[in-house]
Amino acid sequence: MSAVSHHQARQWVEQAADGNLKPEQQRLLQQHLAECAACQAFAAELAALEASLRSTLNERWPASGLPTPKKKELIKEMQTQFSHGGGAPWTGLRWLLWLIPLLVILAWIFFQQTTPKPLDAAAIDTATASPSATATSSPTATKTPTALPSFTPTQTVLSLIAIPVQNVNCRAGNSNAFDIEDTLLEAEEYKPNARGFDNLWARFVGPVNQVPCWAYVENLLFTINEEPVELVNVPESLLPFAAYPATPTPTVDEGEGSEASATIAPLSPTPSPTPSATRVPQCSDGRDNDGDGKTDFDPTGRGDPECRNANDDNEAIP
Amino acid sequence: MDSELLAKCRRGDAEAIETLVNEHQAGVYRLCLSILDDPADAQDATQESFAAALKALAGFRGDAAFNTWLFSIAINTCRALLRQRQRRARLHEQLVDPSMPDKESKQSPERSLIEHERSQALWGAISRLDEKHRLTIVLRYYHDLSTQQIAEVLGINVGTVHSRLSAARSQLTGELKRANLGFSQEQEGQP
Repeated sequence: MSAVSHHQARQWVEQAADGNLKPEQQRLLQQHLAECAACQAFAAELAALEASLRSTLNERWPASGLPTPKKKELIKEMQTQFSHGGGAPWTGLRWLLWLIPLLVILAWIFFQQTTPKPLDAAAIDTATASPSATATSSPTATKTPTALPSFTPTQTVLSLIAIPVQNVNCRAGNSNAFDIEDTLLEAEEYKPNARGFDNLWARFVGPVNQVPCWAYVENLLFTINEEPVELVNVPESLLPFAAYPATPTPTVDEGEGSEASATIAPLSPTPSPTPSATRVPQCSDGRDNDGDGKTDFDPTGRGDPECRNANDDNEAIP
Repeated sequence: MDSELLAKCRRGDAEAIETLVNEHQAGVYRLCLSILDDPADAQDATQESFAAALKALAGFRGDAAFNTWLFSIAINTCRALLRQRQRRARLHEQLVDPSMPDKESKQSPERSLIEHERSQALWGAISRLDEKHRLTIVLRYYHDLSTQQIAEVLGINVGTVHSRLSAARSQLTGELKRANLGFSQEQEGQP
């Protein structure tokens, strides 16, 4: 007789029916069943019960005889539920995906309308229209820094660029009494780093000699982020004012002493606080400065032949 | 279950939902029918089960088989339906009805009288089991779930499944014996 009790054997018979008997237990059970008719009968009874349960239940609910569920209606119902907020928790919040960008756009529009613009639009328009006109006009007292528009820094980075409309001399100071330090080439882009109080001269770092030099603004086109602008309208935060260098001591040429001393007069030894003190270049002042009967620069050639352009401040020397 | 298919279902993809329903609808319906024993109720329960499953799909981690997870939802749905409609008593009455008119005619003529009677008696005995034992028997012998799967579906441990199956089988065997419809003559006097 095996060491396994009938009680233990019948428990194992049930566990075997449930598919959870270990191999060693299975071996011992087989050993017991081979010797025990009662436990064999129990196992046979259980097997018969299981078979009967399967057949009875399948007769009750035969797979082939089941009524067909309304599949299409079921699927439609599922999809309807999803479209009305069912499904994953976030699917009911899909409208937020549309709302968020809309709010961002509205906020951006509101911000644009309430934030002061860095430059007055009218000034930009004027600048756009005026370069050709100002190119031939004389510098006047209207080019003053008194009417600078308010400027509020924004997230946009503003870049001020000067583009010569022709080659422009870049001098050591704000008149042709100063030596030419460098040349700003036509159509090239240069970044000014300061300007005179009168907005007539802008300071650069000479592209060749890398020394500070001043260029008369008449033949310079200024742009802010590619938008033309008059220098007078450029905010100080973008281009600060700087004092002009002291006028160099005139070098008197003995042969032309009287003439030289007369023509190379200091323009503005010290910067005047008011634009009214700004001297107009001789070739634009409407006077015959050198007494040769010719007055100022005239693009038709009928003016003073010594005047190279309207910015020339010496009618005597070409 | 294809995780991509489940992901599409989560997004409300019509085609994916149809595929999901096609794959599992029959099994869920059979389960609901085996619990509710009423085709119309089973159909409602099937629909509710799928709706509940799709709503809870985001929480399905794939730890269990999708089928098992779906079955557990269907069982809960059926139980809720039973409670809501106070169907238990009515179901009990239906199940113990010895006439079983719609099944009678489907019996095979070759079956012996004793087998026929035993089957009817067994069905009556099943219907008299309490819900937890009856459901365990149905899952095991009608849906052919393993004890591990039953444990997952019902949210109980495997040992409990074994004890429920054993207790249910013992009760069923006892009832059949009392009706002299047992499967064998117990040999008396064995230790």
